[in-house]
Amino acid sequence: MLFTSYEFLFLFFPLVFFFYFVVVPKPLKLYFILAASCLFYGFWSFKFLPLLLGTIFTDFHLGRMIGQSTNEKKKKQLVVFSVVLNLTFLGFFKYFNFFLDNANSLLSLLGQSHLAGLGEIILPLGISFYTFQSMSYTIDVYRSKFKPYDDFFPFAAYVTFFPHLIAGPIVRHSEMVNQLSESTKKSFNVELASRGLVYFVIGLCKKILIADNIAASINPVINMMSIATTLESWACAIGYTFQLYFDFSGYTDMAIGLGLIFGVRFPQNFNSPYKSFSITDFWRRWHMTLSFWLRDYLYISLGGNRLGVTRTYLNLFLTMLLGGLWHGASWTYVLWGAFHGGLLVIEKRFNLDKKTSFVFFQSCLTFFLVVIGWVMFRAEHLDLLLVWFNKMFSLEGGWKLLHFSARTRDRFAIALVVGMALVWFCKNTTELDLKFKAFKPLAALLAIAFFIGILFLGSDSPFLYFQF
Amino acid sequence: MKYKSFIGTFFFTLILTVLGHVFFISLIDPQQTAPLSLSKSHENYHDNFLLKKVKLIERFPFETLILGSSTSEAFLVSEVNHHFKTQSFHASIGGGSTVARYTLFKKALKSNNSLKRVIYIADFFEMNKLSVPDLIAFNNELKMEIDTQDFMPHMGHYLKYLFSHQMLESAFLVMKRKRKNYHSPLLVDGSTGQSMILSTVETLASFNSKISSHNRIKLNEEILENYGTYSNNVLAGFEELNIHAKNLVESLVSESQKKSIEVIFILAPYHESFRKKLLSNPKLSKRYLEWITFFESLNSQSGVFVYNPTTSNIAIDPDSGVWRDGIHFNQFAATYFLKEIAENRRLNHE
Repeated sequence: MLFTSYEFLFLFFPLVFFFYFVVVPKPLKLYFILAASCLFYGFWSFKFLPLLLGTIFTDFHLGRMIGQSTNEKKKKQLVVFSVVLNLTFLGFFKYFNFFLDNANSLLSLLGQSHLAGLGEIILPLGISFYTFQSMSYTIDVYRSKFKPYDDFFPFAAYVTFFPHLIAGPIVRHSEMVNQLSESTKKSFNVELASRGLVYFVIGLCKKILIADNIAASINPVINMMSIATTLESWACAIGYTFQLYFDFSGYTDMAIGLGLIFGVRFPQNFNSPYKSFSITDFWRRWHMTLSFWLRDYLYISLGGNRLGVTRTYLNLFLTMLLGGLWHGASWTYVLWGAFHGGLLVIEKRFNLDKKTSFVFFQSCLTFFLVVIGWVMFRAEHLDLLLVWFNKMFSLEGGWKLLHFSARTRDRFAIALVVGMALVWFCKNTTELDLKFKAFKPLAALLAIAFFIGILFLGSDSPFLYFQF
Repeated sequence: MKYKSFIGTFFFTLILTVLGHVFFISLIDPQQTAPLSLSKSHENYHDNFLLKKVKLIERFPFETLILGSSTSEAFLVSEVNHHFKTQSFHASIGGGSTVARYTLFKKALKSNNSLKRVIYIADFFEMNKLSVPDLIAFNNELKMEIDTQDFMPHMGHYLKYLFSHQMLESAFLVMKRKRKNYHSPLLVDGSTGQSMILSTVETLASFNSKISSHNRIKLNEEILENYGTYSNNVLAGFEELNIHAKNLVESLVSESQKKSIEVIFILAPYHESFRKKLLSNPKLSKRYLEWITFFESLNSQSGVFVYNPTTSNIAIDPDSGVWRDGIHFNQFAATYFLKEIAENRRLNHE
């Protein structure tokens, strides 16, 4: 169920809101939100609900066992078990066929027979997100940063909480478990709900009016990149850059908005990433919750910057490489991760991650590199990537827009121009929230914007980060 | 208090906007489907082209009804009239589903006692998932021709349709037409001066012509684009020939037989390159054979003639010069088919 679907906007959310704030008594609110979140997940597939709940149950109890144990060796075994178990499930569902296909390609080259496959493996929705959230709990308990929770249900409600279940933000248990427990004891908070409404409507408009209009134009052209012109290849690259940002940040805004309506604050996930002056700065602003998670649980676990310069660079590179792989089972994601990892190492090595008086040029270069990275990210396979880059850099493909549909071309242009203006010259949603004043004209404007967003619903356009 | 009034203002404005939209759409009624029609839209200006064709059908006397989608655009009224010695009406609709064709057929049957013949240009895509066009489903006059509610949209669908940007844009279009005293390009025989097809490929005036190398490049690009649209969209999820679409075709045949109306089915072919790409998908290949088999099985019925050019010269020669893109052949190819059909019928009657 998408946040931008009719079922969510006019059925699921109003019902959950009504029951949560009007019907369900305070002692039962936590259980209700857990049940509603399970129903939300089950709308996609009830078959995978046991996996989600099983992951949470296992990690919760492993956390308790780690917390209760005084034997360091046993603690380590338990946390390793938690990590291995989570990564096994993630690895199996997400990467089994990828590794098998690559192994079979290698075997073919060596003249050996292929390994048997298991057919199509469905990727459980949100698995990349909820395993990270659940796993971070056991690691934190092992590191003695936090005591284990006594009550299973607040922890379960935290992992399954529907606003962030499917595509983040990756919220730490410390940021949310107590918040969720506290919010269930309180009444409806009008101020938070007002702010939540602002976030939600802005997110809806970002997704529906900007991201989807860009996607409608560029997707068909990307699918036939071999006949696209040079101008079209660049239009697709830049278009996707903005599509991805508005799609994902739009989703995040909606998630944050929903959280606020229920009295829970999620952390910021985007901080105007296309205003970055370096790739290092970019990763402090893009999908921040993932960046921080990778820093705290992967980079630091690998040794961080404590083991010398060369090892620091290697750890940085590996973290980004694995971060790329996390996004999906394709060599293009790995390449994207390696690309960013390499750039981060170069910046660190030559001190290029500091703002200088040439910040405008730094920002332009950073944006250019980010666009190149997104081409790798978007290309579903290496063949398409090579064709796309060839079109972009050979400059021989012509400078006309021949294959952009006449039906969607105007909307694409408007969405792109508006998107650029918003990204480079306006405050982001979090900055707007800081200056939020409950003016009636703003409320009226939001209502009209919401209505316009509803008019553009209808085509089934899932959020891009759902596929991860 | 200010936050309460903030939320209150939001919902108040939203309700006002929703009601304003409903009122505006009811006033303009751009597609003749409004829940309350507050004014009668001049039939010249409204945006329900299916209804426009029906109004012409009801007024214009003809013997032959041409049904199809954009592929049937090539079958000119003048050529049909010449080869069949008849007066025909072109009831083709771009992307026309079986429901749209059946609706137009039923209207013609009701209003035209001189109807003798139906030429039905069958498209492969028709037999995929069947959805009733909104222009029919929510117009009282048109939807009465569909007997079964099995595949009709419901209230939820209607609300999505009413609260869509297409509806609002359609209303602004109708207002613009009123201001500019618009004249419909539809002629009395159902044809128009405008092509539905956007291709710039230059085709040739002979059935056996060969395409030039310059146009070959353009045609290949068109075919690639057609393939993208068809494989990702039009023919996506084609698990079986849609039972309702088949039933409608069979109903058309049986109702024609009752009134001794001849039915000629022409199975629209594809360009060889396009067809090969499409049918490299085993599922689509199977469906394609089933589609041909279904229509050919109707040949045994009295008053039905099925013409199958899917393996004709133009459909197996990749250098054929009559193709505007992978799907649409030109009028010279269509005329050739008409000649063959007319000749075949003449021989049968002798």
